[in-house]
Order: sequence, then structure tokens, then C-alpha cells
Amino acid sequence: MKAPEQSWLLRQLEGWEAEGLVTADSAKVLRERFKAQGAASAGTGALMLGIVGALLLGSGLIVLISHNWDAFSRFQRLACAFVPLLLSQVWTASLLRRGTVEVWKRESAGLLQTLTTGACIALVSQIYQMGGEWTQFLLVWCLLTVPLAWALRARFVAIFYALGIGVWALSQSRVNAPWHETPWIYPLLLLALWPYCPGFRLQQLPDLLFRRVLTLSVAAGIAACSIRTCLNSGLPAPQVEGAAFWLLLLGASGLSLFPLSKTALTDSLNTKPQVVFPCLVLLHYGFFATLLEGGEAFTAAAVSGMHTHWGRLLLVVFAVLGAVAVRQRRFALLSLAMIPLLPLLATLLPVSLSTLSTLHLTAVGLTLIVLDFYGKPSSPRGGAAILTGLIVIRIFDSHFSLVAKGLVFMGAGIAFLAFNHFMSRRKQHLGAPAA
Amino acid sequence: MKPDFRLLAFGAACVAQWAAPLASIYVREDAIQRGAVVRVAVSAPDPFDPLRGRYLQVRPLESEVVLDPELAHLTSGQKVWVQLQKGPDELHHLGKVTTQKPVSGDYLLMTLRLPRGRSSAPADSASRLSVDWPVDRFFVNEKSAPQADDWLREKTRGGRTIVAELRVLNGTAVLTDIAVDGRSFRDVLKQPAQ
Repeated sequence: MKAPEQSWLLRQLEGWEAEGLVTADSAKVLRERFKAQGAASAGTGALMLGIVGALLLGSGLIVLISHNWDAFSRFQRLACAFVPLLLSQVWTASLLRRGTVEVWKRESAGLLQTLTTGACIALVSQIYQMGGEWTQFLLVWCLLTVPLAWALRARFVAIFYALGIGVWALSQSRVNAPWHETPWIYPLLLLALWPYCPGFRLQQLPDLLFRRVLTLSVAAGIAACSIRTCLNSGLPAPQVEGAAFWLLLLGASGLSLFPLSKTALTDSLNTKPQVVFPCLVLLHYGFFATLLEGGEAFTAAAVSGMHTHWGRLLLVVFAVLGAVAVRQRRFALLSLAMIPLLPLLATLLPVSLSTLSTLHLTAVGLTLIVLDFYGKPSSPRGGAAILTGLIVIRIFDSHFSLVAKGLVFMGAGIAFLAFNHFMSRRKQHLGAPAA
Repeated sequence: MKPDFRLLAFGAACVAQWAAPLASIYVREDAIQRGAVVRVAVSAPDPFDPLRGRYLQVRPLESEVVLDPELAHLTSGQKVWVQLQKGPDELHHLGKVTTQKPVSGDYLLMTLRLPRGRSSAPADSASRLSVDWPVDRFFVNEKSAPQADDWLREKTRGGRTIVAELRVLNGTAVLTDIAVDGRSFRDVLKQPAQ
């Protein structure tokens, strides 16, 4: 609840208590809860200001370095590189010695030390004219600062690291590069986040922001491995892009099926970026596939992708996580995650990829609606949106007259609104709040 | 996480944050102080590094090597030692390629690449490969960069050669200057010598 709403609630409590709407005990519990939330939001404010301060300070330093102060001697410039680093290290050390410190100080110190480290190595490489791509520089920077995420439990340093290794992996598509310059080491790099989250005794669960960043980073890692596989596998040039894209879809499916704890199964979709992001990619592709005139080229590319080592590994991971999803009864998600298998299925059945995708998306839409009626975890409005989107795309792509298309769009719109109204009434009838 | 582990992690981070740049500085200072002067012909357009500012992109004109028959199995991505030999034009050129570190002379550790426009090595030209030079940028002052770009463009009109001056020691190279017609880029822009 936002701060103005909290203070409004706290002001009303006295009146409600006098009117007998809430008991004295309930009012006390509510007061304590919302006062605590108020204190937490004040902490968030301090944290954000601290982060912005550290970011401005460190970024300013890097921008100053970019000017290239060639009027200074080499020694003076080196001093400019190491003194800010030393000062930030001293501040961090003093915080660590104190033991318990406010979150904003830990985060600011971690971020400031990260930025002064980057400024230091940037200045040294500038002074000595060191070559290399900026993404290599980024990786060195990330590796030098990740222990700060463990030592300070600094969330923003961990976020910087996760994003940095994702960007680095995506840039490593050079053919025949040595193994340590390929995205295959991405999983090892990702492991460096283990001491921060979940921790050696699995005591730290990632928060929502970190889960979002991790999802993006892992998606970048999967994409990088897929691209590299296809560039190095000797596939015919026209198949490389299609095969890489199919491998990315398969990886996205695996990511969406990542197992959840029992409590997380019933949580809102908003708290599961590892499900939402990949599913959006899969749905986009699914709709696009319904429009494919001749899907043979993509089907052939998918089959080629499947025959690579990376493709086989992704299929095994998909099968294992799919089995876990069946056990956890995540059928709605599973129906979406099957989308990358359609090109493979199209090679076995006498139907085009476009028809198969249309049929599959229709089945997914209906499944999402029907599962809800059976009380299973699902998203009936999502199902209705898929069906509506499918109708709109198919009609838009058809040879019907504009009048017919307009009437169908209006019909679909009315049906969608009516379904939404029906679901709201149904939820109210069942006693659940309307979403 | 135990407090001692946190201190250990912090200590490791601090040591690494000093050791990595200091190790680079040591190797390059040594090359600048004791290294042989090597001059190679280059081209040098003016791009921008998002983290380190403006620089001239130094592209040595010579980047193809011929492998001896016993090294014909080498492929793109592998590291090799390439000797640098001074030619009659007073510039250095790529020489013999070896997989073992040479015992004498000036040499650099380089990475083999397929020449531009070739995605695989055809049998008839398998012994000719490109190399990645260890120097590829010369950072310049934000204000001097456009001036340097103009100067280089003007001076190289008419086919004059831009020469990069390197200090080379034990396979490590440090780019120290860029010159045209024997005139240092630093002198032109009134920069203190490296």
C-alpha cells in the first residue's frame, strides 16, 4: 500500500474503532502493521537515494576519465585511477568492521566500489592503449567486483554482475574462439552468484527485481549459446538464423518450466518473471507461425537445430522439466511450453506449420479457460486473449471484405468483454476478489 | 553467510582489484622502458569506446601470414608467436609463425583468424591466415580526437602511410605513438610524449 493510503487508513482507524467497525485488538494489529510498512518504505527511499548518489559519483568519475586528461603525467593519471578505488575500499571496510549497517549504506558502498574499480581499470587501459572489445573489459570488471555482492550482500552489485555476464555472453559469437572466450562458460559465470543467492545453505531467495534480472541474463546466455552453436555447426547459411531462433525458443520453454516451490505455485504470475518473459516470447512466435505461408524452411532449420549437441541438451532439459511440471500439475504452462515442438511435429504430420500452430494456440486458449472451470491453476483471461488474438490475426490475414472483417472484429470484441464480465461475476460468486 | 567469509570475500576482491591493473601496468611499463621500437603501417579512423572515451582505431595494414607446411594444421582461434622483421622501408613486417616462443628477436603473441570474407579454409589457401594484432586502439583526448582525425585524413591523402610506433618486449606490445612522414601525432597535437 502506498504511503498516502497508509496514512489515510491510520487516520480512519480511530473513528472505525469508536463506531465498533473494528475491535481494539484489530485496530492495534493494523496500526502496527502499517507503521512497520511505513518505516520500510522510508528505508526504500534512503536506499534509492543512496544508490542514485553512488551511481552519480561513480559515473561522473568514468565520464571524467573518458575526457582523457593528456595534460597530466602518467603517474598523476595513475594516481587518479587508484585513489578513488582506495577510498571506496576503506569506506566499505569500515562498514564491514562495524557489522550491522543500514541497507542503503551497504548498497551504496558496494556500488561505489564497483564503479571506482571500473574507473580504475578503464584509466589503466586508456593510459597503456590496451586493445580488446569493451565487452571483454566488462567481463573483467564484473569478475573483479562480484565478491562484493557476497561480502556486502549488495543486491545492485549482483544485478550489475548478472546483466554484465549476459551482455558479455551475447557478444561472444566469434567462430573458432578459444573455449574461455565462448558463451559456454556462461553457466560457470552464473555460478559465481551462488554465494549471494541462494547462499551456501539456500537461505536467500531472490527478490522480484533480482529474479527479473536473472531471467534476462539467463535468456541472454541461452541465446548466446544457441547462436554460437549454429555458427559453429557447419549448417547451411540459410538455416543458421532459423536454427538459432528455434534453439532459443526451446531454451525459453525450458526456462518457463523451471520448477517452483509449493507456495510459489499459487502465487500471482506477476511474481514469476521466469514464466512470464519466456511465455510472451513463445506466444509472439506462436502467433507469427500461424501466418507463415510455407513453414518448410523453418521446420528444416528446427530439425537441424535439434541435431546439434546444444539442441539435444536443451531437449533433455525440456523433457526433465516437463516431467516435473506434469508432477506439479502445471498443465496450462506446459501447453504453452510445447510451442517449440510444433515445427518438429510438422515434419511427421501431413499439415502445414501454420495450421498446426493455429490448432495448437486454439487448444492452448481453450485449455487455459477450461482448467479454471475445473479449479486448476490457470489464466482464463489469458486463454480468452489468445483466442481473440488468433481470430483477429486469421481474419486480418484472410481475403474477406473490409465489412466482414469489421463485423468479425466487433463480434470478437463484444465476446471478449462479455467473457471478462462473466469471469468477474463468477469470481465474485465464488467469493474471490475480481482481478 | 559467516562474517569471516564475508571479510575473506572482501579481502579477495580488494586484492584482485589492485592486482589486475598493477600486473598490466608492470608488464607494459617494462615493455615501454626496455622494449624494442617497432614501426608498422596502419590505418586509423576515429570511433568511440562507451567506457574509455575517444580513440583512433589502429588497424595494421599487414595482417596475413603464411604458415609453414608443418603448421598447416593450425586453424582460426589458435594462438601463435609471430616474429617481426624490419624491412628496407624501415617498417616492420610479419615474419615467421611458430607455436613455440622464439628465443630471440622481436615477436608478438597473436591469434589466427580466417581472412575477411572466408567462412572456411579452402584446401588451396589453407596455409594463409590472418592474425589479430594485440594493439587496436590509441586513446586520445576528447577535444583532440576530431583534430587528430582531420590531421590523419589530410596527411594520408595521396597514399602517405600512417605509422604506429610500438614498444615490444617478450611478446607484449604497447602502442606509444602514431606518425605520418616521420612527424609524431603527439607533437602535432602538442601532447607530452608517452
